[in-house]
Amino acid sequence: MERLYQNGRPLHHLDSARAVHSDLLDGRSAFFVTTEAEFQKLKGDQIQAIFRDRHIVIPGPPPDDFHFDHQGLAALGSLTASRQIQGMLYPIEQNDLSSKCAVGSLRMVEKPDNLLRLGTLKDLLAKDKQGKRRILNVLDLPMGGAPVPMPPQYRWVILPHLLL
Amino acid sequence: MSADVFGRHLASNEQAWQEARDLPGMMSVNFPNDDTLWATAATQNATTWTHIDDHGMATIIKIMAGFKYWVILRPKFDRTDLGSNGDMGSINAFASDSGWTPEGPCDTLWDHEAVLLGPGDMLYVNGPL
Repeated sequence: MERLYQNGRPLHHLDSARAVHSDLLDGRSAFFVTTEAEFQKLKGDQIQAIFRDRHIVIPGPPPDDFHFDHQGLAALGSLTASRQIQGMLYPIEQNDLSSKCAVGSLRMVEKPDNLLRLGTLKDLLAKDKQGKRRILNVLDLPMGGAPVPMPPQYRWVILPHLLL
Repeated sequence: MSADVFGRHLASNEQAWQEARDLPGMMSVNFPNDDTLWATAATQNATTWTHIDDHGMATIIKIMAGFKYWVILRPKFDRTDLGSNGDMGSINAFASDSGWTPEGPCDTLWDHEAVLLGPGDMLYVNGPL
């Protein structure tokens, strides 16, 4: 990964990554980095020309109303609906590459679904809070209404108050 | 999700849908939003192996919480005498003797470049080059 670094810095940290016109062959980053304000100023054909050859990174302010908790995940869908989850539901003792390889190796060409488990978003949160490391990845969360920010499901907003 | 993602000049899926609307033989159904827009949620250290996103379509991602380290594969600067193996513009891109599979890193064909994305950051990933 560091083979392309220049003076110890990744290519997308260099000023050249912010240039609208670029040529990957001259050693520039495959990422075009800009701000949301600058991105909005670009014309359609400029955006398309950039995207033809490069990926676009737009750093933004952190959402102040979304966290990895019951309320946050409830904005993605039901916390109790059964979903496919990639990974392991049992603890992984090591936090190193071998653990990740162990998860990845579950998926085999002849058994591509071997990596999948059934679980819920509530399970995901519970496993995350138990302390022992588990590598879980929920990929099946349709968000067709997302152009309008989705509110969390109300029952998950009031549940903590009901339990007090 | 920011509204600037939609209705801009990269949403060819929406344009294609609009152009095909009401054409003879096309079913009248709503735009399949749920099939083109989804969320993911993962615990720490979740890793997805090398792959091509969704049949080669472009992807836009916004990080809502946590961090994601996204690695892309790009044609090598010094790639020579490899013919069209791995060249997505060629019929031989996936040739069995290319030495490349979409599931593998294949560092003889590709350089790897990565970006660390945090909350609020957006990444527009184009399809295979």
